Amino acid sequence: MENATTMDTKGLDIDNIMRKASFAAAIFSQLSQEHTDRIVRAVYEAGFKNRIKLAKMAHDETGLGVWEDKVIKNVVATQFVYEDIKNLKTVGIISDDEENGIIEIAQPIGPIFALIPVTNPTSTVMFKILIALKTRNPIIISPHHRAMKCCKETAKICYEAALKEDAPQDCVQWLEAKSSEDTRALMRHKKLALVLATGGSSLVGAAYSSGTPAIGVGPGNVPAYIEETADVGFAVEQIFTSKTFDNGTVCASEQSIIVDKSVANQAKKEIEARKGYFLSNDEIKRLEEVAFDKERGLMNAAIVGQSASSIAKLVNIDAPSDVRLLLAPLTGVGKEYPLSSEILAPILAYYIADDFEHAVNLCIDLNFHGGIGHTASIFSNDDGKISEFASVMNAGRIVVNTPSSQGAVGGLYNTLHPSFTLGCGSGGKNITTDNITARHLLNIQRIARRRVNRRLEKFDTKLYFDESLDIKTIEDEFNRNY
Amino acid sequence: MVQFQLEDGKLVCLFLKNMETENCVNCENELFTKIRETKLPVVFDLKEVSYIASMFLSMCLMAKKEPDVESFLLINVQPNVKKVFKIAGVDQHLSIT
Repeated sequence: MENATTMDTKGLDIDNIMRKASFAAAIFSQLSQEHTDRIVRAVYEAGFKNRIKLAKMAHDETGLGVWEDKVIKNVVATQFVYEDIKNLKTVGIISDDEENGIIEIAQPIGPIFALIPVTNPTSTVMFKILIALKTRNPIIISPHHRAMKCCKETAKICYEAALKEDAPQDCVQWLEAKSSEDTRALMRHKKLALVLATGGSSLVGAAYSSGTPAIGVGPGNVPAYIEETADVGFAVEQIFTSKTFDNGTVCASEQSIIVDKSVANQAKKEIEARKGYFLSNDEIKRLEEVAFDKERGLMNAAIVGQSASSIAKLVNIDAPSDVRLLLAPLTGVGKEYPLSSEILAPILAYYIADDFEHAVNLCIDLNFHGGIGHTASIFSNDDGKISEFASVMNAGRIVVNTPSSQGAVGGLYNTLHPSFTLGCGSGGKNITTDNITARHLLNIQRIARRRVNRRLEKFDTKLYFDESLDIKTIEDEFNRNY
Repeated sequence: MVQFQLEDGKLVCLFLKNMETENCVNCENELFTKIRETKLPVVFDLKEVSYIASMFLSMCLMAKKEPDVESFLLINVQPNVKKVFKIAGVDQHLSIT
């Protein structure tokens, strides 16, 4: 491509990257809704057409997950995201409330720096490019170093498709090699409008401390509670669907099962029937050593996205060769129980609760053990208990009778906005609990026409200066119904 | 695409169409040949222009940097085009009226 948008060496020319992004932002600001939508449609089509190739590339390069599941991720990131945003007004006047005199105008925010995780590389690239272009914002893709090739190819495919529809030059850029200093310098750059950070805690933390507005994603530690009114077989099936998906690489995947004692025997049978393997205490100890880095207090990267059978082999676990999930029966939550932490692999902590209260308390402990603000899951047919459970979870998404990975991402099993950036609220040090989508990448201007405040019009404002009046008297006067 | 006029010792370049990439490509050679031939201060008149491509931004910066161009001025810039120069951050390097 003539207009090189890649940087081949470390020590990037950050100013040049941002100059190009600023030019693209400037040109973008002139585009109409119709033109913008043509670009988005072209990018969606190109991404969708390449969904299988890119999934295989991601799998081959990262060695994580299951390529067929990465195809599904690519489908969600293109088709589902496109369907969600295609009719969204993102240019010019987006609403006109004549009665209240408010007109809303959508404006782009400016250049976006997008950090891409190794676990969902191609899908996250396509998702972020689509929502950026839909809102007329240029985007700079910063891939995880272990997913460089597939991210570059994805960004290139999207960019070329966008250019064919007369998108601004350099509206998509990508970094091929970079140091952490480069990343930090880009995040701090005065011309950058937003960091869209999906990745590890340290990277997201760096984004938040950069001084540039940032939308980040906190880690998850999703408890899945099988309450006694649940259809237990269905619940177990859903959890298997979710936790085996792409070998557990989705941050919203279940990390533990909490099952009511009254249905525990049935749950165990259903789990074993689906090739779930319950670990012995010795096996748990061996797995802890490999799966968890105690010094760093994090999952070990070597087992992320690996299959249950390969992990079993690695740890000398006597599981059947076709094992799908490894379950660790535990009695507690916290540092002393490493497998109660987030591990993005087909490993689940397993708890039997005496009753609802005990179960909810366990879920709270798990939720607050590294997963604040993310996602919680419940299988139940008791609306009261579902509400009670939700009210004490600190989670942006409480998915009900749903596989958590796919449920939290949205669009497949519910009407949440399809997204590969799941806000975790203040608990996760995020600005929002929303599933991030195009709506979050707009500056909304409001034209506020003069309107009469009818209560203020009738109110004698001199009363504000009378200290002898109590607040109730002033309120009554202000709210008087003439 | 571009009309050239000599006014008060300046080369005034009146752009007659929106400066999309294709139009920029089509007029670039002629424009810079003229600028280099005349060696006069340059004025880009944008009164007929309501859209510019990034290539036009680059052409403005190139014109400004031409060694024999004593001064470079953009005139009759419509608000929506002026905003483009602002967002691109090049307004500080160019004289825009």
